[in-house]
Amino acid sequence: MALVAISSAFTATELRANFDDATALLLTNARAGAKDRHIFFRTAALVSGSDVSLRSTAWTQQDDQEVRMMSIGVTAGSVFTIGATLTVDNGDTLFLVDQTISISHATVNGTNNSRPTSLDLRTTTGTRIRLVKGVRYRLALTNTSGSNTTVCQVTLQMRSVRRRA
Amino acid sequence: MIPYVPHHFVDGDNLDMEKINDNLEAIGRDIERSLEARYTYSTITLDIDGVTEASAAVLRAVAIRRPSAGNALEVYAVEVVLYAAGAVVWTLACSDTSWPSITVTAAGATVEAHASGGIPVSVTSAAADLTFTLTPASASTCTRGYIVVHLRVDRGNQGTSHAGHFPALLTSATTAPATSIDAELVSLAAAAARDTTNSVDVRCEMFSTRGLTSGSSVSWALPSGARRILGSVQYVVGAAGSIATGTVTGTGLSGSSAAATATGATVLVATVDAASGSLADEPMDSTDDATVTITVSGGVTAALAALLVFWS
Repeated sequence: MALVAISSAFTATELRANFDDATALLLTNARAGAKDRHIFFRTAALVSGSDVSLRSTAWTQQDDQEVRMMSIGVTAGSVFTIGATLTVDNGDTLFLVDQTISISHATVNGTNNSRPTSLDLRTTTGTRIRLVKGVRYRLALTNTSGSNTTVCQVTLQMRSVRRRA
Repeated sequence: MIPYVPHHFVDGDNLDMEKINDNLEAIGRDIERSLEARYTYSTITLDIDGVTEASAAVLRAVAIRRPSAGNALEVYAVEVVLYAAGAVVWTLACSDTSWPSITVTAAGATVEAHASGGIPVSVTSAAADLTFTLTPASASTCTRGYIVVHLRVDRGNQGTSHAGHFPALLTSATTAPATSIDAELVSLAAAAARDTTNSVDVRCEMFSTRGLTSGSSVSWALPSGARRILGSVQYVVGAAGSIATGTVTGTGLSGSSAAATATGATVLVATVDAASGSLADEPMDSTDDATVTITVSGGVTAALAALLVFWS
């Protein structure tokens, strides 16, 4: 739609078209205001029983953002099980609304990832998790199989929807 | 926010000046609300595994610049996470000396030491870096650690002035209502257009590797989402001749490739690359991923190769 010039004689339709044009554009902008970002952690070798320092990353949220999905990507030489968890760093599960955010992935010989069956929180009817500004979260990998991976990456995708809030 | 106007004009009704004013004010408020939600946030992380007091300063530093002069990007907060034996104090200082340095005292090779600073500092240049350098007070080896830089961009300051919209309302003194209404609608459309401009933000991601030998590469797979690529900066530190090439590929992206050639073990070299293209918003489909790859060539190992990618 485009701006309709109002001259000395104008119709309600012309007036309405201008207001509709502005509100439609603002609505489009609000929808475009959804911004995604990632927190990811990649390790060249994930060893069973390794210290958490070697298999995790932690950060403090600077804005409220909603978790969209989490996935694991692995390049492995054999079949074993990899896990990934998102936790509140001080253990206060209230900031994850007492939900356990974790995924498990059985590797194959070669490169693959846990999608499309990974944690997918984008649906409007399921559990929605909002990470809270000022809270420190930790994203960690675990290997419970006693084997090593060649490469392992966990990715958490979050969305900010402030323009629609 | 769901923009709306309270009154719907229909041919045949009497034109009510107050209703026009209500609509003008409603859209003005919606633009204001949108402007209040102007900030977007992102995070870059640089691994500092293996860094010691003997490491060159550029190997203990994270560098950041903005993609263009029109982007109001700032460092909003910084965190240091350190695992190192011995109670050595490490200090993180900024190249902008107005930023107060922060310190963290190592607590053990498997005990996390964490410190953060919450004073914002602007990333003022698209051609030079703002840097944060971590320095130990005495001999110390970081067995594991990373610097987390939180970034914030002001969408209300993206090169186009956007101070909101304040409509001039119709009054009993309005002598040429059609002209006044037209002027206000034109002004309104311009404000909405500025709001569109301000949907452009900047979010950053950093990918880094240390000690990557020539002929080797590392890759990261990033699920797609609501974002498009703006460009990248490839950093490299290494003996002269080490070439680090960072690429970002994926469905919908035109492809970004930046190659930086090292000039010495104590020098950070940066190469900027502009790119374009949007990702499909389907993160669960790995075929829509963006793939980030850093490759080292030139026959010389890169002590540090880091790729800073700008998204909007």
